[in-house]
Amino acid sequence: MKRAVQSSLYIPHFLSWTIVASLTFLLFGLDPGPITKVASSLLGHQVDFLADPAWFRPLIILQSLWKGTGWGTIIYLAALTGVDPTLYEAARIDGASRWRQMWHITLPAIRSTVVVMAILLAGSLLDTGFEQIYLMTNSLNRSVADVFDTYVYIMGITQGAFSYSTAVGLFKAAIGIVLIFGANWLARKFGQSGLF
Amino acid sequence: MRPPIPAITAPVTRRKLNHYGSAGSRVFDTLNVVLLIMLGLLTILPFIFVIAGSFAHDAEISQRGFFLWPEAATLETYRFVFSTPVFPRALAITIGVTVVGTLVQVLMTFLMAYPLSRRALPGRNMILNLVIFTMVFSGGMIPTFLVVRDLGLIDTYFALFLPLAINPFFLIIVKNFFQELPEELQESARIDGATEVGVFWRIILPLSKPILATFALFYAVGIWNDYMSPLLYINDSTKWTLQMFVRQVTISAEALGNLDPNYVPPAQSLKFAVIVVATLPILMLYPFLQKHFTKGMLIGSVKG
Repeated sequence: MKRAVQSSLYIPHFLSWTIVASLTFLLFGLDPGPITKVASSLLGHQVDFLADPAWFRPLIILQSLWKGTGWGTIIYLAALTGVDPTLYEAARIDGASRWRQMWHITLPAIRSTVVVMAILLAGSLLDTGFEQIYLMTNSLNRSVADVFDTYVYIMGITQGAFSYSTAVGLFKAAIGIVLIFGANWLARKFGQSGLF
Repeated sequence: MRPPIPAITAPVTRRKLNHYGSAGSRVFDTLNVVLLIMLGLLTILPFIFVIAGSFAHDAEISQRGFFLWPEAATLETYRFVFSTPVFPRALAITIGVTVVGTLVQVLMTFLMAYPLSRRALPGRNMILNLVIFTMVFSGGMIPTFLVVRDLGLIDTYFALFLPLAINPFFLIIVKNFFQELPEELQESARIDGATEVGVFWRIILPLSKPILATFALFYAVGIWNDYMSPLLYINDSTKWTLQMFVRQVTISAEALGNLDPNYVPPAQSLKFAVIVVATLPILMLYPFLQKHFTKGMLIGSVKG
């Protein structure tokens, strides 16, 4: 049972963004769009998830969650299974409830993993995923869609402003470095070992 | 920051010891299972919908909207997809690029990792630092594009795997793996008269088969799923890979329909079938992928 759930949760990680975007178009599009139909009848008016700028960001977040959450559990799963079971036993003898055990044993035990993951995430904060955004952008929702990477692509590749878009790209890379070192510094400040 | 530790005030009683059988924890367990099953269904259902839709007629798709089993199954869509010249070509190109590209990428990664794992290599630390530098900082999309363009790789299949041939993360993991192999094995082979190439080929490679499989899969999935490289480097639509084709059929079709009144959008079931074919190899490899990727993910991140 646990394995079956695990296996199905990992699948989306191996799919390309093209496939994820295609699935989104089928489910949230106008035709056949089962989710659009349900949402429209619930809200009482026609919803257009793919064209409405207000729905662009929620959709992007939803896609990222669908694709990445299952896979993201692997590292935490490994960290959680590494917690010494005698600690739980001792806590139980002292009368700690499940919540207490989670708060006083589980969370402190996986703290360093959480910190490392946070540093890595901070470094890739600006890597908002060119493919995902690019695939989901259309002329109607472009006003809320542009991120560094898509902007660089449009300015550089489609409009040929190479030096300008290179500068934008370098700026993004510089901010990325600041973020990763900043997160590392913060982690050290709070008594964690950090990455470097 | 360290969370404030609340004082434990609950009196320790005998009864508290086995509260795993209590009503509260039974509710907790049930909720847990229900929640996990729902999450699992949330990831699986879209696939079943797409597979079911690819075997259904267009009329059924637009009439029923969502279903997990077609009422009247038909192979019509698949027959049509494979009868067009475009789709089989994209499939063949993608398979070819993935196979050749994976071989090249694995070969280059291993050939760079092996010398870097030898402590005697002059300038080893400098080269390693250069590799690590690319992990934190990169010029970005446009400089890479210009290099590829000036090398004359635009509209060639090389552009789809050469720029990504050595992934610095993978390189360092493979290098560390080589370093941990026992030195004595290689020495004894040398005493028996093996050349340096012989040592790599007969001793190192057979020992690194599992890690080779892992990274071959990593690279293969990367090439198969890559949408950005063909978008940037392939202008000639006869050289499109599957991902480009899928996008054309499932996403651009709507935009094209808005622009050109004479444009006939592809049949609904066509989209379903194309998605299924483009996903099938990944799903077939999935058991191996899951095993090796999970392992690779853990060597890469959590140590000790």
